[in-house]
Amino acid sequence: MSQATNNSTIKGARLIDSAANVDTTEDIHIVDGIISSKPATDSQVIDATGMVLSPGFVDLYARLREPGLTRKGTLKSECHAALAAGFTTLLCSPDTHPVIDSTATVELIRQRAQQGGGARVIPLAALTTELEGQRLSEIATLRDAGCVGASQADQPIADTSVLLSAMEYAATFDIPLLLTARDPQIGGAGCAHAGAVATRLGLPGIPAATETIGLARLIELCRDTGCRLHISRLSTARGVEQIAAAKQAGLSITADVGIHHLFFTEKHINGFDVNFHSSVPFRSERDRDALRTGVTDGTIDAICSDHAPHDTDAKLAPFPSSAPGLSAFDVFLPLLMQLPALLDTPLSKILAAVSTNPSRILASDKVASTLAVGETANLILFDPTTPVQCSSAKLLSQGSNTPFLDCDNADIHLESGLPFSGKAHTAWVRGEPTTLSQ
Amino acid sequence: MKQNDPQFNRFGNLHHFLTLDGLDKQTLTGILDAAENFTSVNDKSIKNVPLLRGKTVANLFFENSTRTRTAFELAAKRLSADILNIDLVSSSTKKGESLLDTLRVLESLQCDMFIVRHSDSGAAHFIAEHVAPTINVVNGGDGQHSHPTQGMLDMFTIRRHKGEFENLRVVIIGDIKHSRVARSGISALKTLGAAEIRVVAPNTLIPEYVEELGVKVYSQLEVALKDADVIMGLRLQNERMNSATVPSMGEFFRTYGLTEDRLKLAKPDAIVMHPGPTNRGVEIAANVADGKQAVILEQVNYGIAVRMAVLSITMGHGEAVREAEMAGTT
Amino acid sequence: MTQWPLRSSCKIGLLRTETSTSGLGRYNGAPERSVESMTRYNTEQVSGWLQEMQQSLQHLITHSEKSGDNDGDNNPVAMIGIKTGGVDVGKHLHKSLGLQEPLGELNISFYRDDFSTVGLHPVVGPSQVPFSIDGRHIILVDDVLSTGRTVRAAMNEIFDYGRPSRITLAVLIQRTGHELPIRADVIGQAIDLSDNMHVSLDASDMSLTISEPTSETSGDKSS
Repeated sequence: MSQATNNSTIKGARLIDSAANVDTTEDIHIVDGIISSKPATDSQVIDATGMVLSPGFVDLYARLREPGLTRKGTLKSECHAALAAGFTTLLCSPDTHPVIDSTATVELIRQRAQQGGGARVIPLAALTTELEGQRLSEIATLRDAGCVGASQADQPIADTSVLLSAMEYAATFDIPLLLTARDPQIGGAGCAHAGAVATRLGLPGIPAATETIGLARLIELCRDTGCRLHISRLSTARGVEQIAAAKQAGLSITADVGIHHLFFTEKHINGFDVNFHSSVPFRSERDRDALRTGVTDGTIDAICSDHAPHDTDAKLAPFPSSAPGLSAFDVFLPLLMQLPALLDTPLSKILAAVSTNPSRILASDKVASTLAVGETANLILFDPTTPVQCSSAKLLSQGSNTPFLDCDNADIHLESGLPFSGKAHTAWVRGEPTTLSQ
Repeated sequence: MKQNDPQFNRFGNLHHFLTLDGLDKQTLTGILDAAENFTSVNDKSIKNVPLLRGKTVANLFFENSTRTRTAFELAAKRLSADILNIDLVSSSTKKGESLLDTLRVLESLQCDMFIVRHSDSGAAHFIAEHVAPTINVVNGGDGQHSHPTQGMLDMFTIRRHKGEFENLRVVIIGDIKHSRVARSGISALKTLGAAEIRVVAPNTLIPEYVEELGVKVYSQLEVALKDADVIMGLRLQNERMNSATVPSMGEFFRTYGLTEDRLKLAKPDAIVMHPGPTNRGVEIAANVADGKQAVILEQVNYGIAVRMAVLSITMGHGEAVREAEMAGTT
Repeated sequence: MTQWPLRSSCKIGLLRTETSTSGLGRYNGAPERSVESMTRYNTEQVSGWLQEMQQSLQHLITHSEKSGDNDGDNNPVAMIGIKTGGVDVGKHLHKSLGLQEPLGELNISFYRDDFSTVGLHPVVGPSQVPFSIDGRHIILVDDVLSTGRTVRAAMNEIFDYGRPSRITLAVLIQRTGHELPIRADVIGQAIDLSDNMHVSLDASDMSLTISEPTSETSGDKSS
């Protein structure tokens, strides 16, 4: 897939870099992997008329499944799928087997990812060993080994005193924590939003209170410890209000939402469709609308994929016993491209939520995201108008667990009346181009 | 509605019986009418009819239930079907064999129908979705979702005593939250046009947004019972008692137990129902359970006729479908 | 306990099918059909046939009691009609013969031999046999005898109730199309009809219509 020369001239693309306040159509050049104002003599010209060139997307939450769960996905398969979704950098969630709580695992992932190619992988450290919520992992050592932050994946720390010291400790080293707001007990046995649909289907519920209580706990401890806190995968209207208030109070809190949560609600699980079984559940329409507003008014800083590829067997079970999570990479870009119209928001703002904002949240030079001349090219060039059909034959992710799989009309799930389109053309990762248009 | 309902085949026949939610009034009434015919089967000296001769019905019980299993077994036997009881509670599925693998094995035994009971809500839907198209699936209870044959036998009992549903005030007492019986009952009562459905329990046993099912929520039993025509008790599972849900059996009985005095608040001809087994002195006083307004044993009896109706309606179009498919008609 | 009136129109696996076996409309609201040719027998004509049947049956009953087949007083002759047309005919005969036991009613749909191909038949109410069958002379009544399959099913059901000493078959119309070795003992009228001809009895005035549908038969699926 790599091209013969690394030097390219991108002609006629719309360049969008909201951090630099850039939204313009002009030619841009990449010479020896560096963004340049002048072409090289052997530059290969890409006719990018009608396409968009953005800083490469940064995914704040994706499960890549390797090591340990390679029947669901491998670093190679998922990193290539991520690239086609626009992500040039992925934060890999620590819930692999083994858990990312040792430098050996970080090193293993780094090596495997490098061999496999595709998007760049930056592991998230497990905040506690084995994610068990009892003992801190060596997060400073893990940071030095390449982790940009620490996370508890889907397992909240049950013991609040452990959470308090974890946040104090992380604050010492200014390591950002990417945590999902969840009370460790409420809704622990649930599999769907505790609302009208779960009541009718008799599904054990996950009340909204699990997020709001979890969030209140995190916000108060953040206030006390001064740690850098990023709330991962927000799902409730009340949660958005809490984030807004915390930001208002001047806390260093940021938040993201999974892309699917901007589209789906509890109604989608009608008929026990296991494709809508998500570990952070799809909630009411009111919640979804508040999440959308949160993105437009900036309360929610970023949109992540919450990518969760599964093997077929994991989903071949009754709803409560099926594995939670949706494979997101193969549909991420067309979903994202609906948002400007759906949210009545400029494309630049939506792109900021997947590129410059995540990069700002992490504040790490490892995940710089820019179109500035002189920087290493981590870029994505895509055509927002190319229609997409998610067919099993063309899936890039190993996970086929998406409701859009072989679905003739994506709008039956989205009901937005908008086209399902957006296809990556070329991605540059650390200066290396990968052609994706085929 | 029917096109999207997995219970119907593409010819509009009721092929599976998974939930009462979404079935129209005509369908429910059709089942009740058919059940009415099967009640006379018990009058004969030879109590079975040859309707399902040569068919094989498998009771797949992933969850213990002697009562429901026996009722289905008797219904199938009265219809002259062969019945296999497969105890899956203690066997293969515990050993890590997937549900689907178990189904494939049973399919290869040439069964015509699976009666399924499983602790996961949606399990019957899942099985119906994945079995060979010729196999009928009947839900014998899935998690907290649905228990459609119990729902229909409750409706049958009510119709036998009350005739029309339109003017009925029905009160359901107890663990609504975890009860598939309550969900099926509410759904059928709504479709059949009951005037009012009240649910009464402590808030710990009332699920979120239950009003959206079309019921009124009460917290005081005395208020809820006023002018009731039908009173349905629910079994309070042992694990809910002495927990964070209900402090004790004693307190539950004091606050929500159906006693003789409380029963007087309902209409004088109100009937008292319970899916069984009853916890006497917890949900219901012994003298009410044995009293003349109680129809609990009738429910058990009607359960056979209702299940015979469900079995024969769902199985009664298999060949027609196959022939139509071979002839290429739609 | 109140007996809830039964409804007859049903969807869902209950096919609104009339086959040649069942002959007459077995439930209310038989589908309207476009008709090419039609023959009507009025109330008077049908009454004449019923009267002839009554006489033949009376003779049989007297003979049977005389011959000691039946213990006339303790175990008198009883009549069973096959639902619904046989019950309509049976009501007239039962009345005119002045039988002691109430008229029995059979819903033979659970004994039919075509369940696996056409499913459960329209609901016509449960069987009611309010007397003991054992050792009794039973007069089995149907409106039309054609293939004999209905009578076969009815006899199977009767034997599940007990062991009758004798069964006499009485039918208002015997038409062509025998498929089983079953013949009626008492016949109101024999009529030669082709397979697609349809006989329908109007129970309100006991008139009979024989019609030939043009194209579409009534064997369509439920709407």
